[in-house]
Amino acid sequence: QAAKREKFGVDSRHESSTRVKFKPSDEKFRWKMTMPWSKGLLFYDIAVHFCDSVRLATAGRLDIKPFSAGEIVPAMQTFDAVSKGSVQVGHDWAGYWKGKDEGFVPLGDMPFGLDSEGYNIWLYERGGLELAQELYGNFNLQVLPCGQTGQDMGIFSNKRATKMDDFKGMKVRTVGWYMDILNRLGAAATPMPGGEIYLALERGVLDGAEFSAPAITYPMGFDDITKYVLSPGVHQPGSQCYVFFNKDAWNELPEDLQEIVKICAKETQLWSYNWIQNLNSQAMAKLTEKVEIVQMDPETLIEFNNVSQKYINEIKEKNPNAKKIIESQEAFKKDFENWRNARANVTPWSHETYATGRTN
Amino acid sequence: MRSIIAAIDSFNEKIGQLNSLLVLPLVGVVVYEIIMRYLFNAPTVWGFEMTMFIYGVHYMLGLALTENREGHVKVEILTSRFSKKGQAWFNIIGYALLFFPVFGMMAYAAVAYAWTSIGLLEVNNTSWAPPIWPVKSLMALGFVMLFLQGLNTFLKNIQMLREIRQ
Amino acid sequence: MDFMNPEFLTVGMFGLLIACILLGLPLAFTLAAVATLFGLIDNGWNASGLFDIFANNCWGLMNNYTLVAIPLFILMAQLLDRSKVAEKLFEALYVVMGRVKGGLGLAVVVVCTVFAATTGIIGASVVAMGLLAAPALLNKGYQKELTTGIICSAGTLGILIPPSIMLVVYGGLTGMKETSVGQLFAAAILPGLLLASLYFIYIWIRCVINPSLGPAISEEEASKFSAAQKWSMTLKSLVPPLALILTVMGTILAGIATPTEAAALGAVGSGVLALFNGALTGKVVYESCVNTLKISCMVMMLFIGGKFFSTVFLSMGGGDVVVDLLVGGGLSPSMALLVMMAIIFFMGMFIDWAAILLVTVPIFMPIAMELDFNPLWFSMLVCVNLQTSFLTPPFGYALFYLLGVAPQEVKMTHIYKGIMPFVGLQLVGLLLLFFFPDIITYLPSVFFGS
Ligand code: NA
Ligand code: NA
Repeated sequence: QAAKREKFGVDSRHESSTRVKFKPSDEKFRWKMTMPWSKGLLFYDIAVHFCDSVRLATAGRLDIKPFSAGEIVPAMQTFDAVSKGSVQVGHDWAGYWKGKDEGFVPLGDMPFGLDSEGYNIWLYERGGLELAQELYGNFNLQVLPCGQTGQDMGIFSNKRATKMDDFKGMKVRTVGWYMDILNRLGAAATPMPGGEIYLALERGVLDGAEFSAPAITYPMGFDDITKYVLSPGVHQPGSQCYVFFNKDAWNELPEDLQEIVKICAKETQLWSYNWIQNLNSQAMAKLTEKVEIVQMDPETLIEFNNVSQKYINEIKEKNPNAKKIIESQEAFKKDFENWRNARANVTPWSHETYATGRTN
Repeated sequence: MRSIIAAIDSFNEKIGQLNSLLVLPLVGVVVYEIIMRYLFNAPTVWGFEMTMFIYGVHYMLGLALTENREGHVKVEILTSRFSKKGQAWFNIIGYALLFFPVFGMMAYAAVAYAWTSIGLLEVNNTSWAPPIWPVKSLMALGFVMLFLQGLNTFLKNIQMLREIRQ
Repeated sequence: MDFMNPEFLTVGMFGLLIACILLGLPLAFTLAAVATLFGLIDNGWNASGLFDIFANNCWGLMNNYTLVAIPLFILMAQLLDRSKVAEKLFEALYVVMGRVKGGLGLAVVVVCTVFAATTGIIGASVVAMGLLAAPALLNKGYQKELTTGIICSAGTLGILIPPSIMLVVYGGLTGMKETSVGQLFAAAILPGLLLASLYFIYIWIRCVINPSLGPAISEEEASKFSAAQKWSMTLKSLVPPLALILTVMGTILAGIATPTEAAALGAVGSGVLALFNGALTGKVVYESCVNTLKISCMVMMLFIGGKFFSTVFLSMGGGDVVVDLLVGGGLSPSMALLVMMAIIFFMGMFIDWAAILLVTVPIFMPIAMELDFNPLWFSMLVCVNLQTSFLTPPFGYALFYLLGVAPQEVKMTHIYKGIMPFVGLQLVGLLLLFFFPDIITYLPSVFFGS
């Protein structure tokens, strides 16, 4: 006998929200936000968008003034300054805090990690946000997802590389886990500091460098000095940003402001994705005037994936927080495969493209 | 007082002089990185970071020596017209009002900053991920040394006033 | 409280800084003290929060790779100096320039311009040239004011002529393809050479009018050297150091090393030269190391104090105050440009280029686009203007670096007086770029197409 069928889902917030006792307050807060972004990066605009949303929605009761990298503290000191409460709010890409805990990397994205859709589902529906809060909470921080920029471009390079052999000995500028993975694949990856990259790439000190999504990368002018982009950006399929608050500051906020902040962070998550993806296609049109997009062949991709997984498994063994987060993401990927499979082959290509047999 | 002055001077000078030799390994690491990358196609994962940390420690531990040798640049448009006594008074008041509160707090904050890092046994957020709590501790040491050396400048000026009086 | 509004704080901060500079305490300490006072007023007397931010900034400075060029170039200069390589170089230049009035000064401008193409950090170039060229010029009887003017201005060309850390930061800030780092590098070459030429012509004219400012070799002394002797002197003394500088440049251009790394090769090269001159003793190395430490700490202490100052200035909203001057008035395009340039020039008198860029570029660039200025042209006007910030009293980094390394007899008043005509020349250069935009846009259009 079949089990009784019930309505399949529940909005878990609904019940508590009907019982809430309103205690409106007109207390005013003037806070500062610091971040790793300089003003030329679209990430800066995402952080500013959040501040604007909050100011608009609270009628100025919570006024967060954004400061770009270096205005209050250097880019990489964002986390420490907010953790100590010297600045109330920070914006980030979580992977920057790898030195505090390797678990931050999968929160921000890792090689062959989650894409945009994956992060949204995992964070909001699969307990990802709770795991993020646990980790940030260890450092006296309150965190919310706040910005999703999708997949990064591949490696800008003067060397055409599609096969594993082509990558051997290639001098590529990247950082973090991807650097280790590239080195294991036989490349010669180097973490050259930011200010040196352009000239190094132009002069051939480097063979290649990766940066970010197309719209964010376009201003760098890498297309002026390289011929190819070795795609896809396997190192970051969906960069996830967060806004975080010093917990003592957060606890001072009245409940209604806290609620508005949460909604504004979610609004920024939605807006940023649409904004960046639409800009990406415009940027690609310009970039491809100068560079050729080169796709790695499937065997190479599988090799990249194998080596990445092995590396990530080693990380899991070393760091329990990273293990917990990665395994939660892996479980999601696995569970989601049935639907991913069933819905496949209707990728919304234009009719002309689909007609050529490009179904997925 | 003389013995305090001498002790601080000699401590900061010794550390400073020894530390000045760090510029040699600094050159060495940079050149090694160039050779490994250009000749052997095998850049290191640690070269750039190592370079920064060596230089960071190099100048942090040298701030006090530079103060001792009056190497920190000043504009003596007014003070050069003062008498020796006037200059001494000037320095005493200046260091008491400007230097002590600021660099006393700075030394304290740098120690607290290092202490937090030590508590975490913090490593860098890079692939190489070296421990950075020792480097942050040396930064704190640098500011403590600078504070002591400023204290010494203050004491030396008082000493000078005494000598002028005698 | 009304006295806590940003306008008042900004004016007060600048005012107090000027007053305190005159006090004659080490500048870096003064900067930090003024920053502390205003930082505390701004953040409600939360001392631990303010100093935690300062500590974070110091740690940031310890993680800044490009700064590594500073000790490397200083070490190079120390070794060249102690092994008499530099002395012989300038002696040879003095003789070779013969009866040309101000000849050695002109030669120094050329050396600085070449040197500018090897470093992007002015702390490195001004200090190195101050160590090497200042004693040479003074020994030959050059006027102190002219000597300091030449070295500060020509030494500062390094920030404009690529590679340049300022242009890298600028390119990152605008986030525009038209002003990518590559475009800016290409655009900056001719303006840099233009400024060098202006200095060159100015020095020559002044020395022709008044030969005592920059005396040429006396006829009697010149007659001691035959043509053959001059040639051998040139080969012996001029070639090695020039070869060194060209090697440094060469490794950058050939894609062997980044500019910062090339500085280390320069240090090694100067060690090799010292070795050939039989001057590479343990004592020389040790003394070079200690002096390198002392001078780079002088530079870094200024970096630290300046960083505190600009952090507080920015975090209390000082940038908005300065920029609000511009918005609100319905200015004509050329008037708006003039005001923007004036703001940058004015800020340059007090705070460092990096803070000025952080404040002004994100606000000025959209205005410039609205007014239909060519973005590259506008950007280069900003950068050339910013170059003056290193030189304008009361607070110009180049001036203080030189004061820190110049011979004892050089006082701040000489430097302040000496730099004035060169600031004027930079403004002339700015006008030329304004009226002849091709100087800026020509090379980028050749390199990247238009
Ligand atoms: Na340069
Ligand atoms: Na200035």
